Amino acid sequence: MTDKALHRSHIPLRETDMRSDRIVHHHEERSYSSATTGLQVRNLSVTFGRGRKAFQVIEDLSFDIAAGETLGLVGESGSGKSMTAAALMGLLPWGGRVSSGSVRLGETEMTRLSNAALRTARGREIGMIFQNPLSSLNPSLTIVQQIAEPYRLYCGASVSAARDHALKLLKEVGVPDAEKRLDDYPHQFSGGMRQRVMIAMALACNPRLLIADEPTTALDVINQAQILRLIQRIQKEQGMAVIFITHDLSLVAEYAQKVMVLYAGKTVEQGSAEEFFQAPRHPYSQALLNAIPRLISAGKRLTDIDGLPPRPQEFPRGCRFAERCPAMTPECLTVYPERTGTDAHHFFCVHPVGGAA
Amino acid sequence: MLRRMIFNRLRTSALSLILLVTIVFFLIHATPGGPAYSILGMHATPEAVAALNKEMGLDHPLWQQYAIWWEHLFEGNLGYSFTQHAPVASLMGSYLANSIILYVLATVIAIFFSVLIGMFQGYWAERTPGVLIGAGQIIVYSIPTFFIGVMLILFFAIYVSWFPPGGIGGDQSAGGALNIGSYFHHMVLPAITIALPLTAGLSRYFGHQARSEYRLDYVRTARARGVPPLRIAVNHVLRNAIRPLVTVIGMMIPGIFVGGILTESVFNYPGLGWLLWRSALEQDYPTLSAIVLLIGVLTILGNLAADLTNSILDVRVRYE
Repeated sequence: MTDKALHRSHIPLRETDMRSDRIVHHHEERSYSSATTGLQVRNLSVTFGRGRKAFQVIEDLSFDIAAGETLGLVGESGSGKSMTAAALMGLLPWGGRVSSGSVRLGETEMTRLSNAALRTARGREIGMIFQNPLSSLNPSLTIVQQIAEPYRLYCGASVSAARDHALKLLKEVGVPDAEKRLDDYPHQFSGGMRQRVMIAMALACNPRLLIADEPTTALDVINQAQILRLIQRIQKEQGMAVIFITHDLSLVAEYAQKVMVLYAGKTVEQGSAEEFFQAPRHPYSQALLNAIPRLISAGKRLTDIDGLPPRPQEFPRGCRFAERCPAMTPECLTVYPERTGTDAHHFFCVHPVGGAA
Repeated sequence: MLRRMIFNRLRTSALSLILLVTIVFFLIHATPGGPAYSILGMHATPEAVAALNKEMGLDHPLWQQYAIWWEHLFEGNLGYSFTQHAPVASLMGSYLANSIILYVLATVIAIFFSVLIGMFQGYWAERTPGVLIGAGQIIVYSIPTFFIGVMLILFFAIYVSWFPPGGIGGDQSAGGALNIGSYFHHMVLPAITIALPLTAGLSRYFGHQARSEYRLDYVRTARARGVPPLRIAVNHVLRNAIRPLVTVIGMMIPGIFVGGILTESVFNYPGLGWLLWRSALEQDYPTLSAIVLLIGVLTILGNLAADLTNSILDVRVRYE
C-alpha cells in the first residue's frame, strides 16, 4: 500500500474551503526552541479498582509531541484512546487513576499537580475538542458565556475583555457574523459551526496542547475537511502540540506527523507517519489500513477484522491482538512481544508484516 | 411559537375549569336523598322537603339550576353553610389565607432542601453518599404525615418545648390582634410536617435530574476547560436540571393539599384542610364542594403557571 493510494482514499480538499477563514490575527509568540515546550509521556498506565479487582485499561504508553507537531492516536472503540486523553487531562472517570508513569507538559509534571493546579492547567495549557459538538455545549448558556468562561477564570479578564476575546476567537475560527452570534445559544448553530465554537473555546487561553477527540466524527466530509484544516492552521500559528484521536487512518495520513496505534490499552506500533504508512509492521496496523475504502481499488471487497478486542478485565498474558491475528503462533499467546525497531518507528510483534527485522 | 403555546395551554386550562365546575355541580346533586334531606335530616316530612326545595330553587329544571350555579360562581357566591349558618365564601376567607401562607412556606422549604439534597445526590450518584441519600428519601417518604406530625409535637412541643403543639398565633378566633411572630412560630411544625414528605419525593426527582445532567457531555467539556466543581454545579448543571422541577411542583399542588388536610387536623390549625375535614364530618356539603372547587381551581392554575414559566425558561422554545 503506498502513500499515494492512501491520499486518494478520501474526498479531495479544495483550497476554496478555507478561504473565508484566512483572517490575520495577533497573539504573543512563545519560544518553541527547546524540546521542553511540548508533551512528553513516559510509561503511562491507568488502573481502575483496587486490590484483586484492579485492572489496567492503559499500559505503558510513551510518546513525545513537540510544539507544532501532531500525533495521530489510532485504535478501535475501547482501545483506550479517550482514556489516554482523560489521563492527560487529569479527568479520569471515578475509580480510575494514573498508576504509573509521567506526563510532562512543558516543564510541569502533570501527574503530581493538585486538583486546583490541574484545573488551572486545563484552563490555560490544554484545550480539548470532543466528538459531538452539540451535546458538548451547554444548551442553556450562550456561546459567549461558554467561550469566555475559561478566559475569565484563568486569564484574569474582565467581563467585557472576555467578550472581546470571545469575539476575536469566533472570527478566527470562521464563524460568520460573529458579533451577532455571540449571544446565540448552541441549538441555533449548525454542526460544523458548533465544532468551530468548541475549537474557539479550547483555544481561549492559547493552550500548549490541543487534544482533539474524534473532532469530525459527527460531521459531514466537507465540514470535516474545513475543521481539520482550521485546527492545522491555528496549530501552525500558535505552535501547539496536537493529539488527534481518531479511528480513521486516512485522516492521520493527511494531518499527523506521528502515529501511535493502540490496541486493548497498549501500543502496538508507533513512529513517524511517513515510515508508518510506507511500511506498517504490526499485523493490526496492516489490518486497519486494509479496512479503509479506497477509490483506486474499487470493486475489491473490503477486508475487516473478525471478532472484538478483549475487555480490560480479560487482557491476555501474551500479545493482546493474538486471538484475531492472521499470523498468530502459540508463542504469541504466552509472551508479550518485545519492542522492535527504532525510536522513530517501532512495534510490538513477533511476526511483523514484511518479515522480522 | 411561544404565543401559540401559551394560547394552547390557556385553552386546555379553561376546558379543565369548566369540567371541574360541572362535576362539582353534579356531585352536590348526588348527595344522598338530595340537598334538602341532608339539611333537614333523614326524617323530614315530604312537605318540609318540598318547601325547602322551592325556597332553594331546586324545583327548577336541571339546566336552569346549572345556569344559576354558574351565575352565582361569577358573583363569588359559593352557597350557604347550614351547619355554620354563614355564607361559604365569607366562611372560607381566613381559613384560605392561613392555608396558603402555610403551604407556600412548606413548599419553599421543600424546594430549597430538595435542590440542595438533589444536587449532592446527583454528584455522588452510585457512590456511597448517593445511595444513603436515596435510602433516606424512601424512608422519609414512607412515614405517614400524621405520624410525622405527632412525633414532631411530641419532641419539639412537649419534650423540648421550642414550638407550640398546635393552634394558631395571635388568637384570631377570639378576634384578637394578629401577632406576626407568634403566627409564624405556630406555623413552624405544621410547615415541617408538610415539607418533609414533599422534600423526600422532590429531592429524589431532582437528584435523578441532576444525575442525568452530570452525565452529559457538556459537563465533561466544562471540566475540560478547568471550570471548578462548584461552578459546574451551580452555573451548568443546576441551570439545566432545575427546569423540569417547575412542572413537577405544579403537579404537586394537589398532594400539598392532601398533606395539608392531615397536617392541619393534627395541629388543629385553622386552614382549608381543617375546614374540609370538619365539613366532611358535619356533612356540610356546600362548604365541602366549595373547598373541592377551590382546590381544583388552584391546581389547574398552578399547573398553568408552571407550564408557562417552563416555556419561558426554555431558551429553545423562546427563540423558535
